[in-house]
Amino acid sequence: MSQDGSRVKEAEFDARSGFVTTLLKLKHSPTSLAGLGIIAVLVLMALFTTIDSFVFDRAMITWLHADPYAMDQTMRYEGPSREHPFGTDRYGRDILSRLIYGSRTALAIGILAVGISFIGGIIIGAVSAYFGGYVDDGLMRTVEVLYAIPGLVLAMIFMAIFGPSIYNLFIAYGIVGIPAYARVMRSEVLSLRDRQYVEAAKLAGLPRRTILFREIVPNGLAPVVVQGTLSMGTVIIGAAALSFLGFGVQPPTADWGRMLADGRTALLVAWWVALFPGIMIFLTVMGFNMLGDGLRDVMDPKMTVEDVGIDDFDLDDLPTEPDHGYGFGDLEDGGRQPASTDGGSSAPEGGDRP
Amino acid sequence: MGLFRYTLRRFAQLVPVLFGIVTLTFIMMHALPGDPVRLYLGTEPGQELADDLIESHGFDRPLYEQYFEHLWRLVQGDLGQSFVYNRPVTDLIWERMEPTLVVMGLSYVVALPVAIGLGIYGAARHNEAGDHVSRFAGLAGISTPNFWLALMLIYVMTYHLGLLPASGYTSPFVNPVESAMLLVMPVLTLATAQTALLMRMTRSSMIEELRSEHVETARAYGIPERKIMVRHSFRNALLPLITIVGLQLSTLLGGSVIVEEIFAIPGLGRLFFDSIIDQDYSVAVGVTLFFSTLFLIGVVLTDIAYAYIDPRIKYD
Amino acid sequence: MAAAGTAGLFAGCIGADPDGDGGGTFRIATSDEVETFDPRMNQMAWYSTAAHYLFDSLLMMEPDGSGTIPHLADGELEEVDETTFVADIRDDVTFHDGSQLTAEDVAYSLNWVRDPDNDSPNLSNVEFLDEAEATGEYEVTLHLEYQSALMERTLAGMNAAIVSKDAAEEMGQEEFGQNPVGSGPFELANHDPSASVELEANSDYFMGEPELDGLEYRIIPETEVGYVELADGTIHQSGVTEALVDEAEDDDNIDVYQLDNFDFQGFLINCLEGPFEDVRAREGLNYLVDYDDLLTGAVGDLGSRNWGHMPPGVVNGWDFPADEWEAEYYPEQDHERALELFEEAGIGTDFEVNITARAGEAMTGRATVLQNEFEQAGIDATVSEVSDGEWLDSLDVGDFDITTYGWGGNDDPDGYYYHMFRDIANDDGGMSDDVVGHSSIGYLYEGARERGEDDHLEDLERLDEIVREARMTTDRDERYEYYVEAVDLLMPLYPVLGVYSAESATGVHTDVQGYEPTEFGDQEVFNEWQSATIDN
Repeated sequence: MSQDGSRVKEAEFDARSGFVTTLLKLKHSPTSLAGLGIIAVLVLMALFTTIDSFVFDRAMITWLHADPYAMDQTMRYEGPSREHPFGTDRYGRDILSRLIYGSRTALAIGILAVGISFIGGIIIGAVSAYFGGYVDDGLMRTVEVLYAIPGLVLAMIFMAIFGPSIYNLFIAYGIVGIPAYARVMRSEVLSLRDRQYVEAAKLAGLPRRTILFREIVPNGLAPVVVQGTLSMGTVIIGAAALSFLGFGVQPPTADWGRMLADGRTALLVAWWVALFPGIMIFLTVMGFNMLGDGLRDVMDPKMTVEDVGIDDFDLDDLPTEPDHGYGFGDLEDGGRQPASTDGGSSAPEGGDRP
Repeated sequence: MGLFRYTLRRFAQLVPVLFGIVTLTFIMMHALPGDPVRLYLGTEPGQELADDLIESHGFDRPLYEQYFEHLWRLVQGDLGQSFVYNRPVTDLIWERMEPTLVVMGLSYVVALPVAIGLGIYGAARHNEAGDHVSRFAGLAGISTPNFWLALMLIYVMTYHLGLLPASGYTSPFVNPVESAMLLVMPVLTLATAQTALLMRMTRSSMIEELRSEHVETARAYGIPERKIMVRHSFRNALLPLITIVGLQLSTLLGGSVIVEEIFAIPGLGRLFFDSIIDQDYSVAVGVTLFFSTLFLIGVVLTDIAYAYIDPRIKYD
Repeated sequence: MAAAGTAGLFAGCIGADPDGDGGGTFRIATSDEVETFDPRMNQMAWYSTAAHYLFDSLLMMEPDGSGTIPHLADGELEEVDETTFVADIRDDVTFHDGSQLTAEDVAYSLNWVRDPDNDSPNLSNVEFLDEAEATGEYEVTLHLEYQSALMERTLAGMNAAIVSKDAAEEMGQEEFGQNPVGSGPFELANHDPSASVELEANSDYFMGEPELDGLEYRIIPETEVGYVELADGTIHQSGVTEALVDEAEDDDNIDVYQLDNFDFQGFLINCLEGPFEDVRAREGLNYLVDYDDLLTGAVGDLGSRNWGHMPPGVVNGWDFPADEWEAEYYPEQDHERALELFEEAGIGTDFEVNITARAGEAMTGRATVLQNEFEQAGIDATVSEVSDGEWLDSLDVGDFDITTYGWGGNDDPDGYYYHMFRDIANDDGGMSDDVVGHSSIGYLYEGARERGEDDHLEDLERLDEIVREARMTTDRDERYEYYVEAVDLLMPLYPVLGVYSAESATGVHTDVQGYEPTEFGDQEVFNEWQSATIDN
């Protein structure tokens, strides 16, 4: 490896340590700490249930509380009690232990679906931006096609095609999510590809693929990670909605969306069956959103959640589009501040009324 | 002049995307499992009728032929025939459009003023208690599953309090009072997450605006803060909001499936859901196509509005 | 938005009668859309109740199911010989379009369903009829193919609804399905797809004008929302899910009626291929399950066990030896015995079962409980919810292991045995090779033929024979013997797990006066026995 190569490594290292620093900054944000706390509890629950179900065959949770899959027809729709703090469902199964087991399903759906979108989006976005031209056009038009169909509608069609199962749910929501990531990654790569260290790597004669995925992509990951954190919530709600409509997780798997869907017919007499899974979904999504908010704030106070949305759609046609650089600087069009120094009276309409 | 050309260009750019959607939905239609003919015939089919139906709908011809015919019929505005209703899909969409558009439109009407108001309030009280509360409410709003909210609303508002009817739709153009009663919960369900999202958007772009150079300059000139908020910052902060309003269409259209199912509203969302269940695929595909077109047009219109309002954008 | 007081007032006003003198509009919640109003082409359960309001039939069931009374017919059918009956038709009946109902219309309606070219889904129910002939302006002669114990019952149902010949021929079947012209006590006023079906009273009805101004079916997909509307008084009648029965009974504004559905609910087992192709494996399933748990998991208290694949209404009505059957064919749960049998069948415990369930609480409910039994026994099992279309496909193709199955019959054993257990291959012309047709339940016949199980085949041939014979006999004692034999032939082959027969609970708001739903009654808001009004 030549000297240039090692310089490239340094740049990479800097970028990574920058990322770690920003993570450390999170400790100043109580909201994101709270979000992190919620997620940590969920992850612990999910780890516990994974170990419990694969290694101990649910012996641990049965010993601690109750078997989430054990039916008892004499205990149907029992209200919250000491034995069953969150009550029982229509098969007499304990809701609390099912909620705990449901964390594994929720996180699995979130992580795998987001993982598919994340990887798919990064590849498509990066390739599209780096190669440009017809590749860019073709890929981005395809992505737009996916994006134009409402997420829930697209996911329902996928589930109808593949058949309802939890694995298909991962795939369906994974595909549905790709466009957003591809867009974010694309604009990142566009802003990074003329950077010095990229030039250096080119001079060092590294292959284009290596440059793209070793040098450029890692440095543009930050906003994609933010997008990922924030869309965990969206995916978990979306999967629950699919289960609610009967397209998602199959019985008897413990899943919050499914529990809520099954509980709705009894809602009037057994509110606990639908209320608690709803709260779990809410808390989980809240946790991810709080963390995502915090991440975004520490990475750049200017950047907003919603900017990700703006960039999702076809705005590259607006030549002097303001403020889509995620504040990582070096964007040719330089953000909005310089342009808007002309003061507040420039807007042609709206404020001129007497 | 420039704006006109920009408008034309934006619409022209829709063509390849629409073409892509048509192709994708055609593939989906043929990938969907089950045989619509089978379901139509019920439990004891006579093979003869099945053959007749297959032939009359052209299901026995090669795929590429069906594809070109599909395209040709689309150009003529024909989305095919529904198996279940035995009527043209376009008629069905036309009939079911009103409830969906009314519920969606009203949720914008509810969400926008509330979101902008709270957003500006939060920005003005940046990092004060009020801001924290509204920020938390915003987070909570986007974290609440809409189907859960809908069920809880029915449980409380109809079952316990007896305040509002829980199902059905009456056109506001026919009976505004009855219609309003029926629309409260569906609109609230859709508008909650939307309000939260728009509010967060307004807040963050207002904060950014208030920090910007020209506002600093205005402050230096002694212009009152209130005037700065309204005259200088708000208009610039509004710009990203316009884009979001267009993009939100997608979420709302998806949400209509759930809201219409729960509140028994005979709109496009229900039509789509039922068509998937009944394997009435020409309807499913027709509605999908309609939704995406609506969304694309919405986005282009907001882009144009953006270009029109924002003087910094030069449409070459 | 409007204040609370206004809202309450408004909700109350919905049911009010606009004229102030009529009987109001009776609102009923239903979860499914109606696709065609043509009773000749519609098999949907809720619609066949509604269809009776639009159309009349020659006879009418008595509310307790004990027999029929003349309806459009002017007096009892006259038996000329074993296969010829003459019906006099009332001369004071007009269709909704004002035209006179004559013998021509009656003959046309019956023959239309009987004509295989019209592909009516109701065809198999009128197979006993050879031809209906108008032998006078108000006289119809029925020429039968064979004498049928079910003739009167059929003539009282919507398989033999009388439509206006002129209107039906002029419009064609499809248009008629949207613009039905019948002679019933109500006529179609408005249909908002996916929203409501409105019927208005027929002032020229031959039994007098109904007291109600109209009937409105509201299509509400979520049953719990329908119930909320019932409790609120916005709707007058709605189904009550099993979880809500107690709640509804405690509600002073709701009267709850639990009625037998006269159906068969259980699981279909694939006898052609898969883990249960061997009869011992199927027998093992009987030891694996606890039938009562399956019943509770499916419908709670809204159902009862069934014996010999017939609902208790039939078993008791015919005095079948249910106790013997229970002792013989419905063993106590015994996982060890089940595993022994699985072992004998050569599948051991090392196999996977996929239980497909049609969407719906009762179906996924029983599938979930069955899955749990497999897990308890150490066998891997999964549940997949499928849509109706996928379910029908899987029955045609036979790619299921165990699937939920239900069949709605009537209070005659034929409704279960002929439809579920005859050999389709022996039907007129049989079935084409592509469509096996799931009426040959679980490929029982095909499986036995394919594996050359001669002793089973012998039993099955006899089964097919007597199921067909029993249909063409009117002697009740003879039929009784046939069905007892059929049960003893069928049960040892275990082609189905017969879990229960459902009851449906329906809630009626106390605002409704003079109305009580019954198991067999038709046109129940206005018939011989009762006339409903809405009281505010």
